[in-house]
Amino acid sequence: MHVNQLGILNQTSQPAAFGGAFRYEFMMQLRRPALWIGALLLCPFLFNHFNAFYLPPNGPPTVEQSVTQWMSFNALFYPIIAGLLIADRYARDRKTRTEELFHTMPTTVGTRLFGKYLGSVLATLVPLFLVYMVGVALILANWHTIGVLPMALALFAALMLPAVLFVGAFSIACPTFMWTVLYQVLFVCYWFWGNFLNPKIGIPTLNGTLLTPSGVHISRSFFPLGVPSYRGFSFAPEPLTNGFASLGLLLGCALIALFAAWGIVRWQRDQA
Amino acid sequence: MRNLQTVAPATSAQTPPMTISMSGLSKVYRGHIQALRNVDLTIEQGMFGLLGPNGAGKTTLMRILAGILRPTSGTLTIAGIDASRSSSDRNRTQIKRLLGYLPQELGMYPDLSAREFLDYIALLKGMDNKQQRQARVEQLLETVALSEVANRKLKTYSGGMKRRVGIAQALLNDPRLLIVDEPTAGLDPEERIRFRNLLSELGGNRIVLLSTHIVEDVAQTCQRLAVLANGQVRFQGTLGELVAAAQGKVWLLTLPAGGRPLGDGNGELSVIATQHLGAQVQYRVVSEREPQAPTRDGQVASIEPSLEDAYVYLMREQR
Repeated sequence: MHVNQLGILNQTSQPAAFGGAFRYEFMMQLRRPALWIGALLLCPFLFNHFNAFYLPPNGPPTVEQSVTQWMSFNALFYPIIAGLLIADRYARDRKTRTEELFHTMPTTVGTRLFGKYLGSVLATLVPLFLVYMVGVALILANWHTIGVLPMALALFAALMLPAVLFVGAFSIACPTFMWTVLYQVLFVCYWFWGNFLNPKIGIPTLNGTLLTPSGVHISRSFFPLGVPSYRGFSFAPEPLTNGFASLGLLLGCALIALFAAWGIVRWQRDQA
Repeated sequence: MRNLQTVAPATSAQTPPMTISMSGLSKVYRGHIQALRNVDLTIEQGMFGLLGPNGAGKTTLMRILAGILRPTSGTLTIAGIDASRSSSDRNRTQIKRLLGYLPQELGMYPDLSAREFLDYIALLKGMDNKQQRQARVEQLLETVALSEVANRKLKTYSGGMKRRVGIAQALLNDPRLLIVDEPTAGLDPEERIRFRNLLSELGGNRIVLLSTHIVEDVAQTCQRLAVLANGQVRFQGTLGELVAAAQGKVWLLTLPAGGRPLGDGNGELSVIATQHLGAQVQYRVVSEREPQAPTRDGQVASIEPSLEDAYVYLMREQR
């Protein structure tokens, strides 16, 4: 690598640029009051009737079911907040005019886009992780066990992480070509349509398919509990292939959305 | 602000001289809006001023040079690298490595501190050695006299402080081409002088391209300049050449109070300045011919043109 008199690299280090975008997007998202306010506003809803739903004697018959049910409930609602809060990350670069400055730098659009995506997604998960772990701690304390803690962490990684990676990718990608507020409205509608609409009523929906973003198939195949259902949450075991297929589809769609966004931004820049 | 000579000596002595040349360069925006028309311009090392009224096409030209826009037609080479419309991504990346850009409205993340923002930009410019990067950031913070407030969030900065952060980010990679667009707009006089001095110190072994509509900024800092109007280059050369063109065209009219300079009704006379001196009023005017005093008490004298006079004369000539 050629270094000039000042010791500054004349080659562009894409990993350094990716690391920079990741680190600062993570930091900026984590510092956002809206992120913490959003998580706090969700708390009364998530913790409503917590005793009755998750704790003995009225809750599920096993601690594993309690934790799985707690995760499933989180995974149904928190990605809405995550999707909304990630949606303005790209639009903000246009609003603050940093995009113009970034276009004058040797870093590729893809490097910045992927760094921004991963940084903002992981930061968005931090408040949720804390809220989730408070619930897990309450459950484990009531069951007088910490043996299920690894399972609780694995549930978070297998259900919540893919869900937020999935919605995060679309929340970064769609605002590259559409009005952010319009995307946010459409996203909320999509979430309820794709996760809550009962397929039995005859309206086509993603709910129940492998593309259900809240991860019911991942939950049933990776964490089989041998119980058909409890208070509307189905724990009926499914083959492992269903879990992998659902995971692959969610992450694959996220990657496609990101590559599409990369192409759109490049095209927009070339048209300038 | 500290003297920059120890901080930014531009590039090494072995590097070839930096040159920008463009020929027949045009830019047409959507809706058939022609921003640049067949611009032919050569820019060599040192401070170069780009002067013109609002809407002349200066910012479009700057944005093309910075790689934000692509020209519609014509040829453009920067440091021998092709940057025309059909140039490759590789060429563009190479040029961007040589570039420092301070836009008229610098984009910043308001919730980052100056230190964080500069570190982020340094990473995006590919400076992956942490020690070198941090040393460079600290060096530039000191250069622009922001070290003591470097941990404050950018949203608390004044316009002048933000402009200084802007110049610091542009200098992070020791650019051989520094493009500054209207850098002194909105600054108070003291801050403006400080900023001009800073830019002058930078124009050593690099091109500093200063776009402005403030004639004084160019007069105080640049050796060469181009004047742009309606997307076309109306003049390119030295300050002296532009001033020489207005020799014998600038007049001082001293008239009794209430008197007004006479024109022929065809707009052949432009008033540059008016000064009321009690019983008299003095007009500084640009005119092709010696203007007539309206009364016998009036006096007319030919005076040395300033750059501002020469600019007004040139713009009149082009109408």
